[in-house]
Amino acid sequence: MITAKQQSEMLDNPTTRRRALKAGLLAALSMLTGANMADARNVVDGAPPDENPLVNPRLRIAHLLRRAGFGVTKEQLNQFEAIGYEATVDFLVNYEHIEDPIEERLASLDLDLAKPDHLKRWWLVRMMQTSRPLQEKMVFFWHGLLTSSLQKVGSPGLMLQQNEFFRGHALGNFQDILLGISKDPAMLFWLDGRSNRKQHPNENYARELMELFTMGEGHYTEQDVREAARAFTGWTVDKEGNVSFRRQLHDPGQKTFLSHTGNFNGDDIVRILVEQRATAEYISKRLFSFFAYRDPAPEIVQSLADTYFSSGFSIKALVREILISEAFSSARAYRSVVKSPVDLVVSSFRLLGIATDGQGLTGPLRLMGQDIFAPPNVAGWPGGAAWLNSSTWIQRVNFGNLLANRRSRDESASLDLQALVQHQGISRPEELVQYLIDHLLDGNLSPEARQALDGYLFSNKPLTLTPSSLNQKGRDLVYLLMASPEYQLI
Amino acid sequence: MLTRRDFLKRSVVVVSAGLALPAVFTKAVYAASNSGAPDTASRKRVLVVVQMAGGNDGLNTVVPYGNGRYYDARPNIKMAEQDVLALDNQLGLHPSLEKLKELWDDGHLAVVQGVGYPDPNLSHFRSMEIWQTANTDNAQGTGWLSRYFDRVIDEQGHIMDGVSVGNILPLALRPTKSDIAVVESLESYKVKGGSRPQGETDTRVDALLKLYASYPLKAPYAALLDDVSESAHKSSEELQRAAAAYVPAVAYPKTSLGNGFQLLAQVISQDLGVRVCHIGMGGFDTHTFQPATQTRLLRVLSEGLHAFYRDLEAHGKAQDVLVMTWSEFGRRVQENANSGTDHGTAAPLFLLGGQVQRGIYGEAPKLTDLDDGNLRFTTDFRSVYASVLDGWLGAPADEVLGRHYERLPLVAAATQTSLKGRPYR
Repeated sequence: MITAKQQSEMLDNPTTRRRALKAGLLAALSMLTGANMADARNVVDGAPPDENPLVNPRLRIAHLLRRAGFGVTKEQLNQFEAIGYEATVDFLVNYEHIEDPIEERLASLDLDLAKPDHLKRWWLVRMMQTSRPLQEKMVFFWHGLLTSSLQKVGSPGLMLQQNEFFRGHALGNFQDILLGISKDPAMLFWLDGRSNRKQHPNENYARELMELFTMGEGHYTEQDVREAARAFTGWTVDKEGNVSFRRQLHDPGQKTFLSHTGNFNGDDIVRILVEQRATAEYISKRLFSFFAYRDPAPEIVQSLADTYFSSGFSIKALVREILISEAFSSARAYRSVVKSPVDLVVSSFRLLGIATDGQGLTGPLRLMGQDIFAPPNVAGWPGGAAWLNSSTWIQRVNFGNLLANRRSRDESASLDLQALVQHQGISRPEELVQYLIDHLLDGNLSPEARQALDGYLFSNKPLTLTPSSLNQKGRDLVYLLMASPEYQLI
Repeated sequence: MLTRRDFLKRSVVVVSAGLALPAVFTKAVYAASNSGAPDTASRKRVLVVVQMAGGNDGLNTVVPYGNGRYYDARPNIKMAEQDVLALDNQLGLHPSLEKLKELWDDGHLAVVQGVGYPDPNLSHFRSMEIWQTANTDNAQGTGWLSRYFDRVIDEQGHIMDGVSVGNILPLALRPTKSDIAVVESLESYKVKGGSRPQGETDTRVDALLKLYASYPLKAPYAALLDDVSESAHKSSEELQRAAAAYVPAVAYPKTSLGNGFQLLAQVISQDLGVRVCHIGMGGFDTHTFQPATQTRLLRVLSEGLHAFYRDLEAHGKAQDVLVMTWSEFGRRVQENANSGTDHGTAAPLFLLGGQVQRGIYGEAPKLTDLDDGNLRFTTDFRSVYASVLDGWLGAPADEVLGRHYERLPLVAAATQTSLKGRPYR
């Protein structure tokens, strides 16, 4: 008898003749389990380590701040560790009490938000410098779920408006969010609501609302799509982005939708949808997968779905429950998710405390596969293993190079290892290595990897704490850690 | 020297051999029978898949200019008879496909008519998924080209199985169990060194690869991180070398598609062992003011394909390459109120290559017998895939596709060595 653990270990072993062999192993596993090969791969991806590093309170808080935000500096981590895990969760979810001077900072950047690149920088800098990281993380979540793209919407102004709508409702009520997004000008462009008219219904929004925004496939019929599209007729948007309801374009007739019958309009459709158990399970699963890991156990989804109803569709209640759950702090969750390019870029600046106006960052992000405000399609970014291919890997490690070599006349915009050494009272090069491994990788580096790292750092012009060595081998150290496999996972 | 990782990799061979025997055995037999001496030709062959994302309007691409119903349905966006590039007395290419018509005249282009599938899905997302998984049944599924690679056992020592132009591995190639280089541009496809002399940079890259080699095998995403880093590093070096050795024989159009085709020509002409290439362009979702948009896009496509083909020809590779286009659906027969067309169903696709026999294959859907305003497909896209898989790549198409699909007359059987057939009419 082969245990699941043995199977996953076998599967996980890459081979030199790896194509041939892996094909065989995957086939063998799928024969044994009846799973298809894609599923087999997912088993590998989620394989938990033997011990749970998150029993360490400091690592657990760092994990929370990566997932429910974009990481913190060492000093900030010290502060959160002092107040404890649950208090940190409450601090994050009750973000409206946090003073956030971000608007003034953004205003000082002198960006022209009518330009797509400036709009993207505006959001990136916001994610890097906000004092309300969970709010911003939720804006990022909503952008990936209730998508719209500049590619079709065209107007940066309307994309900004949608982004601010998400910010205003980041942990709000799911019904309010759906009611609002159904009349959002960018969305009316993106999913053709503007050409949905009584005489010529356009089903695009109605279909995606059910397939990707609320219930998921399999819970509605083509007839439901047609009826919902009829109900949404009449909401239009002009070129300037002004939304209006035009009575003569609306179909006021009777509709039958998900076994309800009435003279429904779009709001009625949303109200029916939020009441569905399928919707409760779908949004719970999406949120849990975003924060913790993919494919949660059914019990987890059911518990969250119950909370969805008992809290009156409160996203805040769901997110809080996820963040304090055992599953969120389990071995399976720890460093088990591939960092999105946005997470990689934003958290790197935050961890190293480097200031930026975002210039030169949207290009690398696009090459890594995440052009913000322009998801690939209505389903958003697929995430997970899809983040990693040969092209995106090269871009990710090259981003490490970009950041490690960050030099500027403005000290706050530089990676200044000399200042770091002074600040942290580091007196030997080994201490610097350990400090950065702890800070960037939770101290989580195998002895073999540590040996490989030291082998490079301490041979041929070995790392010392002199300015010139810090500028060469010191920066190489930062690069190697940021390009390492461990750093690719959040 | 045997590294720790090499050792572990080898030990896996021993541990798993008995377990995996049945599958590996059949695959090995298949590989031996298909890639041995009798059919070395299929080993060199390359399939180039070209995606036209957004749903290209087939009726204005291969225009049924001899059919009055076409003009009735398209008063504002029709292609006039005198403008189309006639293929016969019924059909003609869109006027901006001039360069493609030249390849038709030379005998290298085939058109497959009415390609689609039963119960068409009009969502871009879903229909792309259907085309890429070759599975109409459910939302999940592996890519059809990924399943093709499942059946291929690679020879030792070559670097790349495929190249995909862009920065996302297409669903057709996921999950990746083979070395597919995903390349947006050659300039950016390079692991950067620090700002010091070349020699020192290399030791830094070596150190990085050692970090990947010592990443614990049980840790999350270990296999993927290992594959991707190794494949990226090797293929980038290989592609940079190939770039130095390659001289384009033609001037490529200055479009991103043109750049992509040039990259592929370089890979193919330098014999890097690639079997499948993927490239694409978007923008075909022409709900409004279709004529200007489609004219521009088809010209980009036509000029790109033409340059690619001529370049391959000059490098003596045209006989080894088959190009297949696809789009997730065609468009509604009746034009809409905005000089555009809405999502539709069946559409023609193109096959191009030195061994393609010119012709129009399959049956044109009837403009008089519509399904809710949409064309009824006449050729299942999986018949095209099956014909390409066994007729061109020498692969077990029925296994890859999960069942048997009728082969197009353009490819007779698995043993056939060239892609020839009899035009439908």
